[in-house]
Amino acid sequence: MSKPLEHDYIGLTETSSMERSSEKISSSSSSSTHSIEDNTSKTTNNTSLNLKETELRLGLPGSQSPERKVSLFGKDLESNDKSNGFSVSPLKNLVSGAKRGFSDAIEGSNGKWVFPMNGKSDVELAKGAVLASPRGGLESKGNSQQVKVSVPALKEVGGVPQSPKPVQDKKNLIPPANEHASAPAAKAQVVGWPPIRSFRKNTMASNLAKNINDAADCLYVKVSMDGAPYLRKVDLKTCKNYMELSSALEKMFSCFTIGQCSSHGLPERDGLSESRLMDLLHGSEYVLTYEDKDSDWMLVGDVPWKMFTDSCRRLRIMKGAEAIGLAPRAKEKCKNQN
Amino acid sequence: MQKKMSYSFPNEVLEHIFSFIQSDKDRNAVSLVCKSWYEIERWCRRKIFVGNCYAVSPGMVIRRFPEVRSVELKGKPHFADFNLVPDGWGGYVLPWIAEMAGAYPWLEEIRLKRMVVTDESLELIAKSFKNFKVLVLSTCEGFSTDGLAAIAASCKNLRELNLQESDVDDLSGHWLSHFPETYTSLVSLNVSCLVSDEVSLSALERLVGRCPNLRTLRLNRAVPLDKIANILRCAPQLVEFGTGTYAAELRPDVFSNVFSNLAGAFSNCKELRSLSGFWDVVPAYLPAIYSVCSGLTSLNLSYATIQSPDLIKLVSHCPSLQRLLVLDYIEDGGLEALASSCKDLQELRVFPSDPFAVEPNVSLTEQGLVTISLGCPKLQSVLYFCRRMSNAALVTIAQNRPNLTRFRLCIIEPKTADYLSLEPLDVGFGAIVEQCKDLRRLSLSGLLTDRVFEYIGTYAKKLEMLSVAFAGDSDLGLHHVLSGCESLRKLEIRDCPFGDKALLANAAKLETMRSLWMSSCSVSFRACKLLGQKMPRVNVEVIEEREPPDSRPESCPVDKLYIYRSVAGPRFDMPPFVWTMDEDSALRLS
Repeated sequence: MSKPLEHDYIGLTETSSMERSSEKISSSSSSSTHSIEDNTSKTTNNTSLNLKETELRLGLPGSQSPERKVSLFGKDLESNDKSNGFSVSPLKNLVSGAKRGFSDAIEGSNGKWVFPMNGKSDVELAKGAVLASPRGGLESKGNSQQVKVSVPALKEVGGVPQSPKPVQDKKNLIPPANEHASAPAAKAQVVGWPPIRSFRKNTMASNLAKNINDAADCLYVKVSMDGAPYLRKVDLKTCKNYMELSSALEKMFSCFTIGQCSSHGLPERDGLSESRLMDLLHGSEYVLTYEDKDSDWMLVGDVPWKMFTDSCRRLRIMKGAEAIGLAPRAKEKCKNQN
Repeated sequence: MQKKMSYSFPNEVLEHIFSFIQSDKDRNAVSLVCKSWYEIERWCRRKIFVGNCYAVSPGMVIRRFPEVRSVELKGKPHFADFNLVPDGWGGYVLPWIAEMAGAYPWLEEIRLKRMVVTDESLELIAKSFKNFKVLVLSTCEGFSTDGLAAIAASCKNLRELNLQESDVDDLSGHWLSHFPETYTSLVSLNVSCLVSDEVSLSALERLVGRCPNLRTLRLNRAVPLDKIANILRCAPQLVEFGTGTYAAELRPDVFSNVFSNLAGAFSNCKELRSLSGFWDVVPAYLPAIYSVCSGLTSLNLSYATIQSPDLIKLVSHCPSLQRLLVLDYIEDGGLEALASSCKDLQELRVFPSDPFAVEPNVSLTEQGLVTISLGCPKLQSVLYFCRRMSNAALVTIAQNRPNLTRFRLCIIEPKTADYLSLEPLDVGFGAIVEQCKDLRRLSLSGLLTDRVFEYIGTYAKKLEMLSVAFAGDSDLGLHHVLSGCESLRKLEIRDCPFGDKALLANAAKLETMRSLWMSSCSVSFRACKLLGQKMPRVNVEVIEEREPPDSRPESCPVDKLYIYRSVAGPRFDMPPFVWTMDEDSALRLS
């Protein structure tokens, strides 16, 4: 099976998000299963149909396409997009956009924190399969003033059925999680099949991991967010790097910030990382942290991805103010580990 | 002339007679005889079972049954076990605890399954019920060991604490120390689901040592093997025991010490009938349990990653075995050995060791199950994961074992046909339902057409629970089940082409069932609204995480649908992604 697509926020947003949207549209209109390798061919189809205007994007708020109308929590983020294309510090845009989106949520929901659910169950979300469909319109069900972006977009695409057969959807869009070196890669997994309880899956996963690297099929960790009414779970095995994790969590929670890192998950030279951290801490309300095997809370993004998944016990999206104390320790720990 | 019927028995006598009637079904029947029996019965009912916590409100239960001592509640639908029910769906126990705290100060037992339990709920239990004795939290979540500490500290009469497969936030092993030194009444403790690496061994040993009535002790993985002997020596009267990790060093000096200590401790436990745990098994240590094997009736090796030869050796020491849970490492050969050694076997569960591997990693096929069905005349309950099946095998199994009551077969790859004939497995499952007249629970898998449902509707008259996935061709399939299965209580369906017609045509059936779950099927939003409108005593809940169902044409299928009967009306604790279709829904949402 071919290597799954690398999702890169910064460089390739246009191509990758187009591919993703075309996948969804074409998978809904055809009933045959197709694998991820078909993505590239679908891209050209999409372009020729000129659906770019109406497609949904996974790009971060503030990233390109001024015509993109995405609303988080009912407030248009269009005005956030001050840059043409990508700015020098995309993080800043991400941060400010996300922050505004979140505060809007607080203000826009009559004091009660309405928790928007952005996609399917955790496994599906984490697999990056579903396009972000911000549920601005869902805060109050009867509120017709909310901008319902996802719906008009899809409706314009010639009455494509809204719910493609989920089995096929999942099979199309889920990258193989099983990474045996010698055995053939596992096929796409369907949510909740075979019917095995999480406790058993997690136990067996840690059994296998003792023997074979990356053989475990799933690694659910809890994700809590300060202020959210309940926890979610995300499967770390379905993310290849911090970008994908960020994407999955963004879909889940719609509005958080991740300690930034390069696409390889490695901390950059000190000077740059420091400025990013400062951006992060000053610019945003929320930071992603995790509890490691030693029960210490660390900033996500400081250690190589593999090291992170091996030691991450659970995730917490905490308020930026609380996270300030973490930064130095995380750097220290990283140095020690390196 | 009107003759007034009067009973010669005073109420107290009737009450005494009723006290011998324990089953809920019988109690319900008693309460329907006449008004005075209804009254007497409701005042003396001590145990309540609520199969769906949303079917009735706590207030209603309390009003009818004022003197309850034991409550059992179930929350989320069964498919929540497989991550099909999104987080935040519901099933909160706190409202129940809060109301019972005031109404049932003498409550002794709470048993919960698939509910969200918070530390707050546990603290409330701890301080509200002075005579609290039994807490069973099966597949629950939402609480931490802090909540357990509250229970340990306050419940002086606690007999049983069972956390069976719950998802507990394990903050440390110190909660055990909250059992006061004066506390000695523990009978059953199951903490096997706790995942922390820390455990307070000394607190555990002291607790075990001072509770002479301890019968059941299931430890978690963190308890090392070399500490088991000490614990067993503190409680030689144990009947049920679950080890922690079953691994220790193999260096000769360490091994002989640990092994002889362990074997000695086990041999002291003359009452031991059930063993479990066995994480990370080092096979060399297994013979330490041989002294108790002849008396074992239940063995859970479903986490033991040992190979067939070791498994065969072990089970051949256990002729009294009635219940075996094991991984597919046992293979067909091991099942053959099992069939010849364990003639009393009643329940077998074979779990997959590597369910996501494309190629089979073990030699476990339909043959193993056929052999068991032939060799074990008392076999009643089967859960079997495998990669291939044939109609011939299923027919053989059905003919061998018409006494099956629970048959759950999971062929790992969806829509797998009969590997010999390449046909659907309709005939095979048809044989199962036709031969096994007392079948109460059935789970289907493999390639199946509407025909299998015709068989089920025709023959499965005692069937209470049916699980269906990736099966059927049309609404006819669903119609057969809903119209034919007279005893059906729970139906759960995923990824089947079942739509509006069968559901609407059999709407009345829904009031006779506990619940119906359908996900990734073809039921339209319009049909859901219609059902909600027409069936006031049934709650119709649509689960849509992507976007509101009313933002699309109403002919669009809903993602997930959960329908259950209720006398409490629609619930109000739903998260944003759950919509309830009630009488107004047709007006409000169209």
